Amino acid sequence: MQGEERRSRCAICKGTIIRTNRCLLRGEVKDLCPDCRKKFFVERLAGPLREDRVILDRIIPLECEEYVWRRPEGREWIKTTCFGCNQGCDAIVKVVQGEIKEIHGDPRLLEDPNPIMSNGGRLCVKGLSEIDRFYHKDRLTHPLRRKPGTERGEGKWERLSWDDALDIVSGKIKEYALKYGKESILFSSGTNRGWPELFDRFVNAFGSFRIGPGLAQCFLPRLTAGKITFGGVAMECPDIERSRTILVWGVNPPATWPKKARSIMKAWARGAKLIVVDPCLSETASKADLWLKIRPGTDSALALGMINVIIEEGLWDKEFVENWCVGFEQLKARAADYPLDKVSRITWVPADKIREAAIAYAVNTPSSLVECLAIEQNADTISTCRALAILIALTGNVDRPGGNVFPVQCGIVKTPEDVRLSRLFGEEDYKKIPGNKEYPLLSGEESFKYGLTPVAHNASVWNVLLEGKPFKIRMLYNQGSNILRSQPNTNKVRKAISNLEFIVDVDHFLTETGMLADVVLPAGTWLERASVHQDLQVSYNSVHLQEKVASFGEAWSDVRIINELAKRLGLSEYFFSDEEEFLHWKAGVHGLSLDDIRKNGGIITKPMGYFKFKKTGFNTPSGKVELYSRALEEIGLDPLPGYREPAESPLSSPELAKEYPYILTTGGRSPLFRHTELRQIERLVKKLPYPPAVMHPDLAARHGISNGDKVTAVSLRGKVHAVAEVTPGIDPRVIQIPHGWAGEMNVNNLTSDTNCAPGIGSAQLRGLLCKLIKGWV
Amino acid sequence: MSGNCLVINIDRCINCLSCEIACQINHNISPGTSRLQILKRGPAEEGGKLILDYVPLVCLQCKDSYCVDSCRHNAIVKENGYVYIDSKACRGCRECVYSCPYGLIFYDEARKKAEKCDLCRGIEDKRPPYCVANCWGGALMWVPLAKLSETLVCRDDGTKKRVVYLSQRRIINELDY
Repeated sequence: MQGEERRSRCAICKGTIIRTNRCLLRGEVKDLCPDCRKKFFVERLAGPLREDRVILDRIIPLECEEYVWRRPEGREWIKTTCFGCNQGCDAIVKVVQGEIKEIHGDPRLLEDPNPIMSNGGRLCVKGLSEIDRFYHKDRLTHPLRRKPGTERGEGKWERLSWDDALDIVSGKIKEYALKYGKESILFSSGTNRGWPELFDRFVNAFGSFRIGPGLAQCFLPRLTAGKITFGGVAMECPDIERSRTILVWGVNPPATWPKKARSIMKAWARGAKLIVVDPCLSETASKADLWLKIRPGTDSALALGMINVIIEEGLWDKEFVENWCVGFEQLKARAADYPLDKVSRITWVPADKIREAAIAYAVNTPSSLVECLAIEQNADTISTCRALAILIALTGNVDRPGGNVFPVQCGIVKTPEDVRLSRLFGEEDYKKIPGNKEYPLLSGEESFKYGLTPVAHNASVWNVLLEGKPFKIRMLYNQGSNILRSQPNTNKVRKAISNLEFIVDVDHFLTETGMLADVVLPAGTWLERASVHQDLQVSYNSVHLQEKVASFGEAWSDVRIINELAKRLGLSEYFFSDEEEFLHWKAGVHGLSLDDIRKNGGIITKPMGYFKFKKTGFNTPSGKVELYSRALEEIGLDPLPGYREPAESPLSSPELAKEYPYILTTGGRSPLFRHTELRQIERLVKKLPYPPAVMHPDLAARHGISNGDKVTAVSLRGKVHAVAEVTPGIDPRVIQIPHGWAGEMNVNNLTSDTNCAPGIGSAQLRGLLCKLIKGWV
Repeated sequence: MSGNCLVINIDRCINCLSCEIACQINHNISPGTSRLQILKRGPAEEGGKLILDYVPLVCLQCKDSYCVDSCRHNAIVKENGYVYIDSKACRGCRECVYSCPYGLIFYDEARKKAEKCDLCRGIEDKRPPYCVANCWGGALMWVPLAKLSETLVCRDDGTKKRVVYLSQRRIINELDY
């Protein structure tokens, strides 16, 4: 074998092999390069499909699925909670003399296991690579000020002490508030994972408004629709592992919700039926028994079509609907407007598949619905989310094992009014919030009832900035959000922002937004923050402790920055002497003491209850599930879910579609990144340096494009550079490009901030029109 | 041979890449290289349906290891059923990379070292390999050999495999390794 040196050609890819031995697989002799050998091996290994999938529990004992290792002991191991995304996995970190050595998932399983929300020792790519971000050479280590006399964006900075920096920022805030009123200062935050209450508390105590750049496109519509329909957030909490049918709608959990992905795969392996609604053959869709390849942006039509099938064929849960729902007759009449052939024409999903999915979901119960933000980025998001909520109710899958459940709020003793201080809102305050008239569920008084606290509508804020009417916004305080990359229609946002007189940016790195700032403050990552969490995205029924693990440079945790700034603005009565006091307060929100949580290893679990509504009823005006909503009617919105065609589509704008023939969807997340975050980490960027433009071979062939070619997609607003990923797993009329890359590669150059969804103002990011050009132009 | 066996259920791989990154970070391998790789197979039409598989690939710890024979510096060692590269002895000549019939030895360009999976030899008593510990889909399982049936893990000559592939929706062809 040894030293047989020669040159040869790979039998598959025809590439040159410098040195080779013979590849021996089943006696077959082939000269292959290492990459083709892998493919050849996989081809030989994976034999023909079986008729049905077999269940492996007789071959692999079930307990082996869960190989639990012992949590290491010793003082160098600190329990914390990972906030690489919103799901908050329990993590343990090894720290030696202030330096982080290792980060792992906390292997301890919860005492009263709610398996869906326990990560059992795992972390995903984002959590694992946090050590890279923490010690990254480009991280901000101290506060910066733009050098006096230099232009914005020139990138000349001088170092400030925290005292000076906070004095400047608070001084500016006070100055503008005094001269022009508090509305002249715009507060903005991103996903603010782990500290949303505190930022709201700060803005509300100060008495101004904020934009939550993502809220109307993520989380708020489904939260609001859930509260209108159920008086709670059942949609958010699928009890996946006990389900016989799992309907995954507009989300790819392997990339964004590993905990849910794990539950789905456990149920799948035991034989649960998996139905996936996605325009693209995602990882989840690749496992599906039934994949509904939907036209982007038509989700509510599909949901109404399924509701219609369930009603027409008499498959609804008669007992539950009779006893616990109002408005069934009106719903029945509305659903009749969505017969299968019409829905099939709108959604491009074959009628028999829609029917099969509806019947499986209604009959093969318990069924759970797993959804995420794809349903919140279309023309009518409240309708879409309500239609899905109604699907849950109609089939009786509310708060039952294997259905969608209400989270058990772990003894929360303080209400949002007290925690977020939304009680400080006065009537006059609402009227100033941009978007308040058009989008009452986002920015008006209504938002209290269903959402959390009013936030300004992004696009309306940009308009106020551009027009200077009805008032002038002069200052931006932006914390943890790269709005110049994450906001729809980037070019417009850039123009709007450049009208500001003073910009403060708080971030881990110097981002595009930070480059335009006057003062930049270095924020800590989740490893530098301490808090106590009971959030329905973290857990349905437990409280989790996040300890501060280490510190980097002079970076401060977001909590500390907000706290110190608030004190300088004279808001001490609502804030804390230090981070430790904040931690005690946060434990108190749950009626717990910090010592008890620590003694318990950082996790306290309450038993999961089901059918809680049987005791208390639903928290709606009628005390029942509101299929027909009078509350929506009162604010001038459709009391029943309906379908609205996207503003840009071959049907609604045929003239535009002649020039821009393809449907663009900006979904398709990668597990490597979180929105615009982690784009500095070499090991992740190397795996996906360019945004993939996913397209069908037919579409690619029309433009002479092959897999891996550079392509440019163009919309009415701008253009984006991407790299073609040619796959049959997408409709030939659709192109999917994910977001988060910088500059020319930012798909938000293409997206629109007009024609927002009624009532709540979501931007349409799924279902726009674009054209395609080969090469980067 | 006692200890555990890596059972790979290819259907449960969800391409979340946690295994790859966990391996890279914990074994201090340069970005861009990893000891394991998830290979995409498809999507292609099979039985009237588009089928897309993700297959996690790791060194199979072969019975007759070509890589061990190929190394001129005796840097590849077989011990207790695990085949590992002694990083200090490796000179980065890549002979082993080309010797592996399955293409499962990787080359770390930055460190000029060959890298391959050795099932994290030695840590199995306390905990599973890093890839298994971070596998969300349940594709990678660390199962005591004693719990597996003979037919699953025994080669023709009675020696035991350290790596076994399974599938729920496909028939897996038994290959000799």
